[in-house]
Amino acid sequence: MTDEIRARMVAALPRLRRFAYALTGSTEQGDDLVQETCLRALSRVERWQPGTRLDSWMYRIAQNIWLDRMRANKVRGEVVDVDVVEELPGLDGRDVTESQLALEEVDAALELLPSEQRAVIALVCIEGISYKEAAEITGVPIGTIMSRLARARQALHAILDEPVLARTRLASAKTGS
Amino acid sequence: MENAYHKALALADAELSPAELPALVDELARNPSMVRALQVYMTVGRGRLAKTYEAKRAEPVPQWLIDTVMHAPVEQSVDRSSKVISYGSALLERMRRRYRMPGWSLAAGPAFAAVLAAVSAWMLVPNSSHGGTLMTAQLQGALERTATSQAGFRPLLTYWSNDQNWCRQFEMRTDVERTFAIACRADDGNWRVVMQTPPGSLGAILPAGSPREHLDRYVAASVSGQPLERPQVEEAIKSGWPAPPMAGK
Repeated sequence: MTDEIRARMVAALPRLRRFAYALTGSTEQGDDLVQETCLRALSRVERWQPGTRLDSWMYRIAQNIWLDRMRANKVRGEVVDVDVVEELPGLDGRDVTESQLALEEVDAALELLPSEQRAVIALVCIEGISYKEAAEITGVPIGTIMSRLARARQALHAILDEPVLARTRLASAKTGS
Repeated sequence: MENAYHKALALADAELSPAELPALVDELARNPSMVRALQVYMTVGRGRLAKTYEAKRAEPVPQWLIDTVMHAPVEQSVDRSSKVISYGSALLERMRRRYRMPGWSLAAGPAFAAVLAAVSAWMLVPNSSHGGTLMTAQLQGALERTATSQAGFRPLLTYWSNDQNWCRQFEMRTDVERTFAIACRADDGNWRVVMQTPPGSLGAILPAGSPREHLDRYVAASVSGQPLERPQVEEAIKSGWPAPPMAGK
């Protein structure tokens, strides 16, 4: 039984990694989140009900871990590793493709959204999950999912269309200043 | 009104039932702001965002992540009150919790037994409950492929040891606590922690005879030649940690 679940988890890893990447905005932090998700899932494997979707259950675990971290970071304050600064885009000449640029733009825009909106964008728009499934994964009503989606998309559109103005406004809203 | 906007959202996401479409079309004809909202929903819609992230899904999954899923133990609920937790076990539990280590062993190689015995009061030398010798895959990856600091991990020294292995002294930290350790690379490519200090508060002044000094003494006793400079570490990583020419291995 466990071997079968492990195999199904491995099959779900590509999607789970993309979801985690969309949440965290970083491959390393995303993989860290995926690892923790898998370990937590394995430690609670008896809670998964055969016949239900394993990937949805893992999305839920990943989202909960991530939201917990976001809340903890709010209390403790964000910590940025010094060496990461060297890798920030825009500090030196970059040789990147257009698609990478677009990904960076969306990543940066997503980072400005409230955690709950970012999670619902990742589930519905990036992972292609239905409203109903997203409601089950996040544990909120469908109406809330749709409200978060609508607000998140308005914000994303504003950021991608008018980046400077929207980023300033959203950053101020996030910091409460 | 919000309900009407939700229907526009559902239309953009192909989740609107056909029965709801006529009413929405009427609403769109009356309400220019809803038309603008629909345009926004479609512009930043499923197709565009999913396409942006499609390359991430196509990336190969790192082997260490697959190993985590395939080999991490399925932990069962245990009655902790019935267990006598030794210093080493308690520390390992804390480290697992903080650094998300799976239940694999942090094991000491036999070649280091004599040194460990001399300073065992400070050392974490847990027994392996699974008979394995792998560390957490994440830490394995950091030791194997990281020349500079990354979140939670900071390499301090990299050197070739008298026991004919590559060893690295490093720091692991959270935002409130940190620990120092030495790990050595076995012939099978796995890194094993051979010494580790108990986690301590950031900024704490370490007294004489502190755990960190034991690590430094261990390095002094086991190093062969000079520790590597950063470019040499990068080269070793790039080349897959070959034995240095002077080792004759």
